[in-house]
Amino acid sequence: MNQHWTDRLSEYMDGDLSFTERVAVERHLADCAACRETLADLRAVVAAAASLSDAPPASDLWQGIAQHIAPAQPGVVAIGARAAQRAPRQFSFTLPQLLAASIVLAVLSGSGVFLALNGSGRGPAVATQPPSNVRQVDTRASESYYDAAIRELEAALEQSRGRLDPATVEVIEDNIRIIDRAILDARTALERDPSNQFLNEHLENTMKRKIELLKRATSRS
Amino acid sequence: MTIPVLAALLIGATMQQQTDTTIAVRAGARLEVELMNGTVAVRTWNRSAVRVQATHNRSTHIDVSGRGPVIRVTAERRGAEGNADFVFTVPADISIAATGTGMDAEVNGIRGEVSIENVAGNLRLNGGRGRVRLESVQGDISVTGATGTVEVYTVNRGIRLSAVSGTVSAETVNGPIVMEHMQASSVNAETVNGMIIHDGALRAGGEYAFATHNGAVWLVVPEDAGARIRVETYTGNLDSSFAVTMRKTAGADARNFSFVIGNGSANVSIESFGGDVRLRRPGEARPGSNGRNAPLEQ
Repeated sequence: MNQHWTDRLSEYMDGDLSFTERVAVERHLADCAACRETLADLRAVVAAAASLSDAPPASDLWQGIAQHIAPAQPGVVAIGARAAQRAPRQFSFTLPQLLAASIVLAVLSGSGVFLALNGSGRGPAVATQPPSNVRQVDTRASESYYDAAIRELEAALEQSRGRLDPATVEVIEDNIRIIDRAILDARTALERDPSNQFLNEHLENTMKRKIELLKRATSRS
Repeated sequence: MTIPVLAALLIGATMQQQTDTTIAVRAGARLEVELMNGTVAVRTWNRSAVRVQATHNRSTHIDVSGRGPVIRVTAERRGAEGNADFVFTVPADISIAATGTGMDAEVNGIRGEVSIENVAGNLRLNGGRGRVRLESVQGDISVTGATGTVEVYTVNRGIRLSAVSGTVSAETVNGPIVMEHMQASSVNAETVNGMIIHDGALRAGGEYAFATHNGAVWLVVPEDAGARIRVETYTGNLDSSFAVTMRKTAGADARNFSFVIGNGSANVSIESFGGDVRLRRPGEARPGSNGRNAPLEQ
């Protein structure tokens, strides 16, 4: 790992890289265990930092989600959903800031990140103790966040069902089931091979695909 | 009101009517089209004018208005979008934006920007330059000869791209993505349930990413291509018809490989959770290589 890639990781996580740069970083990550570890640390720190700020309101989360989880900004872990009242907020830090913050957060954070990621506490139970493995923190935090986003968007789609053509709703639901099967495949595989980098990324990408589909479906209603 | 009168009114309302009007436009104009259901066909001519021909019910009004460089055409019925079948004849340098719900669209010969969005119905584009964007939920999308930033999204159908250059993004959920005679310098193609085929140039410095969950990825590698190729799969296999020196990616999983072809100047990323990755040379057998188009059906 060198300074060039260190700088890129922060930008990668903030979604500031072009497609070409992003692919280059992902290619490097595939070959560099040190950078993968660093990225996992950075994501965990950002997620934890977000959890220490104001918690998102549960009722209008989906509107914020639609702005916060954009496929054009892969890797961004943006928490907080008051998008209707304010501009989307990202947590963008330099690597030294993040590393310093990680020390503080290691002391301060416990279950906060998980509680924040799950809004008002709805949804499946998640671990409330900080896991010892940073990589797992990163993956599970992302999963929880995407799960929350999906739940809110599904609720929004359900609410707008009457405004959509029934045939369109049926097509969308069929395709959501296809994505759900893919998510289940990835999760099942991860249970057998939890440290598999490809599976972790594939699960995350597939969840993003579901969010993207739900976003598009709700925007049409 | 008697039944005969009601029937007469009904027949009158449903009788087909023709609208045919031509409006002068300046160079680089933009045509905007909105309708509910119907068809949109666009062809070009050498005049600086847009001809609008529409077939529609008497109860539908075709509104054609020009404001600056924008020509706006809408099918309206009682204050909402109505149904119509349109044929537009336009100068080739015009840009087009069309939206409809159940709308088939076929656009030929345009050298301007193109944006078409529907819910159901097939979208077919031959041409397009600059920003080219086609989006559907339940419709096949076919783009030929576009150049620029090409974005294609559908949900429940397939995508076919041919002779497209520039930067390409193609996404579907339940359908294949077939790319032939490609000249793009950047391609990002993603599906969940479907195969991906890329047959075309891998440009020096280009970036190519192909990802599917359940489907094979076919990559045709030109003889003179130089590329660094990374392959990741969980249950699929890598099958190359030509020799490559593979190395297992350090610290990674059993089915994660990278290798270099030629000078390695292009970057290629291929992912399939459950499908095989097949590398072929031009002319070798692959879906659609028998002279027929690769099927877009699942």
